[in-house]
Amino acid sequence: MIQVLIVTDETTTLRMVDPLVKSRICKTETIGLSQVSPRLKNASPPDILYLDVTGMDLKDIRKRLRAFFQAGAVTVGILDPRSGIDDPAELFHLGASDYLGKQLLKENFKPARLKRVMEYSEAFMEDCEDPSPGGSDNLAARPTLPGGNWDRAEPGTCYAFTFLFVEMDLPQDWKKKAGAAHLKKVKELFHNHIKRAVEPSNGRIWMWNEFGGVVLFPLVDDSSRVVQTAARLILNRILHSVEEFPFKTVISYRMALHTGETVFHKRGETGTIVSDTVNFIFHLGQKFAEPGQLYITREIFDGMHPGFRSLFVPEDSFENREIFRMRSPR
Amino acid sequence: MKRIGSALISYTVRALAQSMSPKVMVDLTRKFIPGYDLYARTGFPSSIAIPNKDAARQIVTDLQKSGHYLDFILLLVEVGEKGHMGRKYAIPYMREILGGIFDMDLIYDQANKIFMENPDVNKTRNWGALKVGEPYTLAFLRIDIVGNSGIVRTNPAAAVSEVYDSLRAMTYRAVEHRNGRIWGWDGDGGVAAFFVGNRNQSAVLAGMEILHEIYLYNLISCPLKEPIAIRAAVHSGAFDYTPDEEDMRASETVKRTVHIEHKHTRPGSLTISPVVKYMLDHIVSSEFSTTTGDDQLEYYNYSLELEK
Repeated sequence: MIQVLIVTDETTTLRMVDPLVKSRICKTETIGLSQVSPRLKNASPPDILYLDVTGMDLKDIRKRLRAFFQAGAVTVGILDPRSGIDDPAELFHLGASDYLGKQLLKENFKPARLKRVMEYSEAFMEDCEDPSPGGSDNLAARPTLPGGNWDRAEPGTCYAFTFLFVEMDLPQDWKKKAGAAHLKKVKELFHNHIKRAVEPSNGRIWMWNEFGGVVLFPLVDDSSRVVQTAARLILNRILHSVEEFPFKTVISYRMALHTGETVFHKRGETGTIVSDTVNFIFHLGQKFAEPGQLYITREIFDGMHPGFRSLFVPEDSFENREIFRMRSPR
Repeated sequence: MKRIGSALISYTVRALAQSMSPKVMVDLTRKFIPGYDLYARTGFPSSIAIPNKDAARQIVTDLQKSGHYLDFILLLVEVGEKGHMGRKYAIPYMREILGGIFDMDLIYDQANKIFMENPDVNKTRNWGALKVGEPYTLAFLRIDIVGNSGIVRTNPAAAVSEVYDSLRAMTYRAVEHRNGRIWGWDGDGGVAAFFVGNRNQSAVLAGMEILHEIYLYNLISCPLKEPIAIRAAVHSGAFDYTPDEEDMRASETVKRTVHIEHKHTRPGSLTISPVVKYMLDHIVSSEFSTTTGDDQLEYYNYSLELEK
C-alpha cells in the first residue's frame, strides 16, 4: 500500500484531497507544515510526500524540497490549490515528481495517479541509489583520459573525470517576461562565458540545456586547477558581469564539483548514458545548491591542494556524501 | 603598421572628388598642413580651376607623405556625420575606406575617435595611435607590493624572484586582456596605462582581478613565509604622451596615482579617485566603500572579503 503524506495548513486543500484520504488503495496522512520536520525525523519517510505551496515563493519551495530530500523523502509532489506557480516545470527541475494546480486537484487527485508518480520517481532515482550514490569511490582503479588529451577519448569507454555542474540563477517569472531574442542572447552569452572560463583548465562543456549543464575535466592527480577555475568564477563575477554581459546586472550562477566516472560519449550523443555520477552531479546542482554558491564533495575536498581548504565550509550532507561550500565574497 | 595600399588611395581620391570642391578639400587639408597651396603642388596656373580628381589625387598623396592620411580620414568621418562650415557632405566609399584601414590591422576606437592598432595583431606602447607631446586623457593603475624590503630580507632570493615574476605575470595578464599597457615595472610593482574604450573601468577591473589572483596565489602557490599583499590605485587625467619612462613618472596624473596608492590605500586593497569612480558601471562602483583621506578628500576602496 502506498504511504502518502500530505503537508498543508489550508482547509480548502484538505477538502480537495479528501478522496485520497478515504481511499483504501493508499494510506494517507495529513499534517501541518510545522509538524513535518519532527514527523520525518521520527518515522520512516512516506512513499510520496505532497507539499501544499500556497503562499510560498520558489526560494521557499527549494528550501523545503531540499530538507525533504535530506530527510529521505525521495518522491515529492507539489499541491498548488491557487495555481500560483507560473512555471511548474521549474519544480521538476528542483526535483519534484508531481504537480497539481487548482483544476487538477479538483478533478484528478486519485490513487491511480500515485502509481504513475512512483514509477516516474523510481525511474529517475534508481541509478543513484545503489551501490554507492555518486559513483564508485575507487577512482584509482578507473582509466583516465590518456594524457588528458580529448582527441584520445573513445566513445563508449569509461573514464574518470571531475564534473562541474553550472546553472544560471534566474528569477521565477523572468523567462516568461523575456522576449525570445533576449532569451537566446542570454543563453548564448552564458554558454560562451562558461566555455571560455573552463578551456584553460582543459574543461569541455559536455551536456548543456538552455541555461546550464555539466562540464568535464579529465581527472588528474590533484583537483586544484578545477577548483581554482570554479573559485575564479565566483570571485570575478562582478568583472564578468560587466565585461561579458551587456545587461547591467550581476550575473549569478550555482556550481557543484564532484569526481567520478562515466561512459564517455561525444557532446550531443549523451542521451543514452546511465551514470551514477552524472545523476549525482545533477541532483547536487539542482536539488541542493543555492543560488550564487559553489559546492564541492568530500572527494574534491580531499583531492585539492590543502591551501584551498580554508576557502570552504562544511554543509549538510547530500545523498550520503559530505558537502562543502565556498565562502562567499561579501 | 602596414602601408596604405593603392586601392585605399584610389577610394579616398574618388570619395573626395565626388563629394566636395577643391576649395573645401584644401580647407580640410590645411587643418593638418598649414598654408597648403594646391596650385603650387599641382603646378596648375592660378587662373585655371583645378579639376576635382586632380585636386583630390594631389591632396591624398601629400597627406600620405606628411603622415596625416589617417587623421584626414577621421576628419572625413566627422564631416560626413556633422558637415563642414554649416554644410552637409555625403561622402561616398567610406565603408570601403574604413574596411581598407581595418585590413591595415587598425581599428576605430569610438570612445577616442581615433584609429589604433588591433590588439589581436599588435601591442605597442602607444596603441599605434598616441603621438609624442600630444595631450590625451588616460587612466593609470599603480601596483606596489607591500613590505618589499622585509620580503627580500627574510626570504631566499629564489623564492622572492619567483613571487615577483608571478606578480608581474598576473599583472600583465589582467592589464593586456583589457588592452592596457604596462608602462613601467620595477620588479615589485609598476604602472599600467589605459586609453581605449571605458579606460577607467578597464583599469579598475584589472586592479580587482589582480587582487583576486593574489588571494588564490597565496592559498596554494606562494613560496614565502608570509602571504604577499599589494596596494593598488587607479586615477585618470591629462597626460602629454611620452615614450620616456622618467617623463611618464613625472607627469602630474601619474604622480597623483602613485600618491593615492602610497598614502590612501590599505595593504591588500585598491583605492580609486572620485573622477574614476564616477565613470564606473553601477555594479562595479557599488563594490567600493567611501573613505576620507588625511587630505580630507574622498576616496573609494575595494578589498576582497569572504564570509567568515
